[in-house]
Amino acid sequence: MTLTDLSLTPRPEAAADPLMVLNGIRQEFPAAGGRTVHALDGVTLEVQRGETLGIVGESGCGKSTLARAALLLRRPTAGEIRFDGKDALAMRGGRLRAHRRRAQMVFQDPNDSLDPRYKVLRSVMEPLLAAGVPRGEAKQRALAALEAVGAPDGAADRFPHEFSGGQRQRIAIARAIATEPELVILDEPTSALDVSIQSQILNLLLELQESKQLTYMFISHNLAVIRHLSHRVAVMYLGRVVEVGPAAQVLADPLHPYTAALLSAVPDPDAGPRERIILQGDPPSPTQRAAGCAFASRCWLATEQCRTEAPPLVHTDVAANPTGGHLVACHRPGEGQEALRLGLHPASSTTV
Amino acid sequence: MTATIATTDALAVEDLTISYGAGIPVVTGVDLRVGPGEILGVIGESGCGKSSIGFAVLGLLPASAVVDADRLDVGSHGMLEADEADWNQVRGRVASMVFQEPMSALNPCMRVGAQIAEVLLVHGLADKQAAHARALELLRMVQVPEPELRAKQFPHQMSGGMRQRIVIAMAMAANPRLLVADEPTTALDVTVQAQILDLLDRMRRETGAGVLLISHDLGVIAQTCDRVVVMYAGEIVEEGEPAEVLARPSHPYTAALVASIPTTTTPARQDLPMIPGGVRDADRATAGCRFAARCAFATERCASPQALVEIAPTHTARCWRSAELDLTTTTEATA
Repeated sequence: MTLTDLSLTPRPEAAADPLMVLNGIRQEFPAAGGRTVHALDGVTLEVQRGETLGIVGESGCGKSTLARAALLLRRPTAGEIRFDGKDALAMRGGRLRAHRRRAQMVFQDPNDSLDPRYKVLRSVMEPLLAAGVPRGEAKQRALAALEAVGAPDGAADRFPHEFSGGQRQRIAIARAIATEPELVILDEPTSALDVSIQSQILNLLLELQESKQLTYMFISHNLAVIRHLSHRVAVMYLGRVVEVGPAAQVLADPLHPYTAALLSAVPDPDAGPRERIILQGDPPSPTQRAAGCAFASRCWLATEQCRTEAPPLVHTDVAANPTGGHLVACHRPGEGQEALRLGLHPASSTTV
Repeated sequence: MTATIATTDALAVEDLTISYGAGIPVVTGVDLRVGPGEILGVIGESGCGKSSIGFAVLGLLPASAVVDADRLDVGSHGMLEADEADWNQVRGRVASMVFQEPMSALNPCMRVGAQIAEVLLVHGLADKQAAHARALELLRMVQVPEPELRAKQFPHQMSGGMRQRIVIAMAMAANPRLLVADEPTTALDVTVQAQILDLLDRMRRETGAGVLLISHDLGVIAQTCDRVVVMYAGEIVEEGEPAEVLARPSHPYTAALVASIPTTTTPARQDLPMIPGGVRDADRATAGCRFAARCAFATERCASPQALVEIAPTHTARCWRSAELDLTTTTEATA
């Protein structure tokens, strides 16, 4: 993976005209005892046309909540969503239905989008009918979508339970692309699949993105899969984006200590003996909104400033390319990775 | 290492076959040996039989399963002819299990300290007071902070990683010779996974228990295990040290499996090598190579039966062509 690899660079004309802008998205849920869960704590992200924006983070970091907010499946508590320049949160009725056609979702479990009592054709046609496409045309387009994803012959007239997990995920992808959306949000689409099936689905997603000019927001806890698909990567922790930038930079030279720890924790069959950061404890409860950096309670670099003052998501001089769109929310950017490189991290251990 | 370490193997299995009724066996001809303090990884995809092996060595398969073997020794106990009463003596005391979902292994209505102590009480290894003292000691051993407080809590008051530590504490309570861990970190986040794998590694060093680690994750296997067996369609296709097996595979299935996973060195946004098709019942029933129908290197000879052959002193593979194929280069060329 090199920086000169053209396939890693989003189309340059896109930068000035993002497909979707999420601005200060907050999602709060009431919790027991009158407390509030801050699932999304002010998320600001841009999704460029034609790119894959990878969203990575551990369970409870808000990545799936972000997907649902971005698609208006659950309206955020606060913030702004602009889709193709228009205020998506202001859309109602017919305009909202027209918008939904343009932004679709693929879930981890294909059964979430396929009704077990419907034949496959009906499930794939459903979003088209909802968008007001006449029945005859909807059928043709659904069949075309099934063909595009490589579903087996005759799949349309069979039931979901007749297919393997991998085939079912293909069908769920067909349903998502049937309305010819611009944006597809993929929430852990291969996490439930065997690795040899995972590679088939990843290849299909790459092929569909090329042939149909799709923009992906790809959510996963699997860094290797994120690395493989994404042009840019956003790292989330406890409802906040702590780092975002070109995939090659974020994953090779992480600036946030959490990203460094996350990367070092992934067991990689290709990697030889290496230093590894073992984080202590678990993420704090999202009901306790941190005054400072959300990661401070587990960060070995944390200072008093980190605990009291939330770091903004900004460019830093520490980045390889200080103006290249690699942003980090950290008072001590780059120090985590540097310490790991020098073997200075107190909790690190060498493993095979 | 402490003085409690036994010299006998934690597990010795020879020619294990598992089938259900008259159906095609789900596992055939499997030989396994786990030495004291050793971690043996079992890797393979869904349906390869890896979990069935884990259940079989603990006598946990359903009554409909037919287990046949030449040898099935758990610690120093020969379990070939064992009945349920014999297994009850072994399970939890000589060998124990850690499952993927800690919540399904824990009683939601019972305080975790009492659950750990129960293992010792059931086997009559301690009285009530000693069992509770040992429970606290175990909680400290698995690095649960504030053990006195945690012992009084219920599973739902804990995070997934903490629950898995409790399950490991229960499994280690009676100082077993063998720990079977079936996807113990699959439900956990990567940073928590790193903690749990570290804990398993420390446990086996401190107690000398052998570990049978079942996983679909090549990275977990590479990082944790001393040896690995690769399963395909119910049989072992390759065995050796993880660094050797994963870097220089001698079976085309292992090579294809390794190549199909994106890693730090895979070129981004380019097609990954795929394994075409899937496992069919006919593949399981064939006398020859079960992978042949999906193998890029299959020849006529692959229809005839083949044994695991030695590639190197600690490396075996079940492939007629392992000597002539250079799968290291194949993996890199297609990746």
